[in-house]
Amino acid sequence: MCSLMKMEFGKLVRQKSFWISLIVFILFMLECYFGWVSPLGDDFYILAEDGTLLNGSEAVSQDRQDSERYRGVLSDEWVAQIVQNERDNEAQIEGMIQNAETSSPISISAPNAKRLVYYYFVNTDKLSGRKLDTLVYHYGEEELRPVRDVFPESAQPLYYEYSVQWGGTLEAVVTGIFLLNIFVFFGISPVFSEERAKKMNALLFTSRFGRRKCFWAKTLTVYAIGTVLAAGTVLLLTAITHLLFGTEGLQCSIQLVEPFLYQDCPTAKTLGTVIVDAVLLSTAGLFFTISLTILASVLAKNSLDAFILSMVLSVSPLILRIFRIPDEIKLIAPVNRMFDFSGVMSVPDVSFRSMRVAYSHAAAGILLCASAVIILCACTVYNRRAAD
Amino acid sequence: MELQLENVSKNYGTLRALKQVNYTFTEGIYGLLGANGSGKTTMIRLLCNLQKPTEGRILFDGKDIKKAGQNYRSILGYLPQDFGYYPDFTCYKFLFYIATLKGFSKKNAPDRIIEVLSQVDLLDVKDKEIRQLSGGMRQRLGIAQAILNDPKLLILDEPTVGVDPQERVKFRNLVHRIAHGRTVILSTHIVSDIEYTATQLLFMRLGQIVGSGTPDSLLQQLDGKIWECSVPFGEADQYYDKFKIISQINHEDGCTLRLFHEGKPMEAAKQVKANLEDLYLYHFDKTK
Repeated sequence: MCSLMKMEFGKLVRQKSFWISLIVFILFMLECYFGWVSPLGDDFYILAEDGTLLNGSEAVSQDRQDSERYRGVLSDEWVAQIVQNERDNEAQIEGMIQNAETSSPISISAPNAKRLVYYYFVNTDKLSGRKLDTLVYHYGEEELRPVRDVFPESAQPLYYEYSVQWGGTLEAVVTGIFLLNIFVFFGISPVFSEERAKKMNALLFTSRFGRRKCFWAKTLTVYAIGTVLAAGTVLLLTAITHLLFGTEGLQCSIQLVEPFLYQDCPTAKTLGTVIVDAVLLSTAGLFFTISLTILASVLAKNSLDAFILSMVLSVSPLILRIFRIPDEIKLIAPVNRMFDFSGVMSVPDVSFRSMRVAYSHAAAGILLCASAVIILCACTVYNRRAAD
Repeated sequence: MELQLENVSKNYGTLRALKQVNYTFTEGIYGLLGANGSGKTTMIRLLCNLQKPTEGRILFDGKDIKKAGQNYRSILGYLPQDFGYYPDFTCYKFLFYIATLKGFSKKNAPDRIIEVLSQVDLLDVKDKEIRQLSGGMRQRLGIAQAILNDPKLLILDEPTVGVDPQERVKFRNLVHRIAHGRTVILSTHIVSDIEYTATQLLFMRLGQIVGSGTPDSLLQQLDGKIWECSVPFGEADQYYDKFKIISQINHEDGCTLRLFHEGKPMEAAKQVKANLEDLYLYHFDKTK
């Protein structure tokens, strides 16, 4: 079986479509990573306390230093201190922005005191409906109660630490694995269809190993490629971030990582946990896409048909968006999540008898089970089909 | 070794491609003759277990080939009518791939591949891509992949279609050389492919075996039925209406007609020895 898998691997990698799609995937993935994580801070500007505009690694370093002041669990005292600092600094910062001789994007220290305060009060419901100098809090006690019922852990205190780069890594990893889905359409769809197009089926089916072993050799080869590429993507991206920034940021509560994406997440997860969950679900999604691609490849008569069919099968869950279907169902399909993992975190845990499972884990389990069913269908079709 | 078809039928929808075929193959070269659409390829695909019979069963040494699985495939070598290959593979790499499929180890495969390439006279082009080979060479490569596992049962489906006469002769000789100790089933509609090699002939028409036996025994059926006569050019046409003409050879002063007839067709006719082409035409005329 191993020798057969090696041969199948050799057959796949000899195809131009495999290499072209792999190179395109790697370029896109790195572009996303360096665009979002910006480990060297090329696109990152920050205004220092003396009014100097910093860029690049200097800006990143300054940002980390500034953030250090706010590290820790957000408590009443801590937030009061932040509010005080904010009041003291606000006028000074506004002045600095106006005086800055640049139109470049300016970040006023990453922790963004306003954001911390905002989440603190939403999280603890201590200032609902009250107006602070710079912020208006929208959530009242009545509005928060149903959220608390479903997500009891949302009342837990939030923890802050510098997490800009790991936050970007989370997005890059999710996007990277999603881009792998597209690579799968191009690079892997010929796995069965090519032999059919080349009329090799008859030789394969009459060989000693027969169709069953050929099927599993091809299938396992494709999964092995997918697993290696997914693992490679995750390891490469996390290794770069780890090399430059260590583990700083992984303990940060997810709500404090990126305001636009995670502000409505009612879970009490750290960024590190969310990265693990995202990798698991995205990889399960990739396996699901691989299964659909294998089925398409078994059904198709040539590589182009296989490519088109695998695309159609994979994007077909988009139709769920038209109907009023709960997010729990919609978000299982990788195409309905794409690059965004925040929606998944807004879905409550799944209870099964006495067990309580995080939604992302349950969705990953469903995807893996669905993948197994699809593969068995593909195997049945392959075994029953007459050679061309 | 015994391969037995028991009441085998195959339907494609309403079309009956094979009808209640009973036959037993043992060691030797079997020529399966029939026109296009006569059921040869269907029968071969059933023998290779690529399709399942609608009725009946095929037994290999008493065991149904559907259940024999890997044991049956281990002794089978098959060259399909439309031989598939990867054009960008070299001959060696292609055979290595097939060797892997046939269960050869990495250690044993190279020696066997060289041996087989030498047998089919392709050793010189082992590193050439298949797309660069001529049609005849590709067919020989097809034979090479079929005999790689030294099969007891070798099935060749119309192996000489589209091959030039010189390659056909090479191919014929090759089959003859490798046939020793095996059961070779060679399907064709070209009589000369099996004229000198087949030990048994099967004539197929409309999904049935309409005649079978050794070439000599089959040719005996035509004793006294094949005639040749010389006639002037102008009269040749009227004989076409009267008799079943096998061939016409033109000379300066007229032509020689070769024809079937139960008795002497005319005074000047000479009885001649039947050949396989006569037999082929005879069978297909007889069953009309």
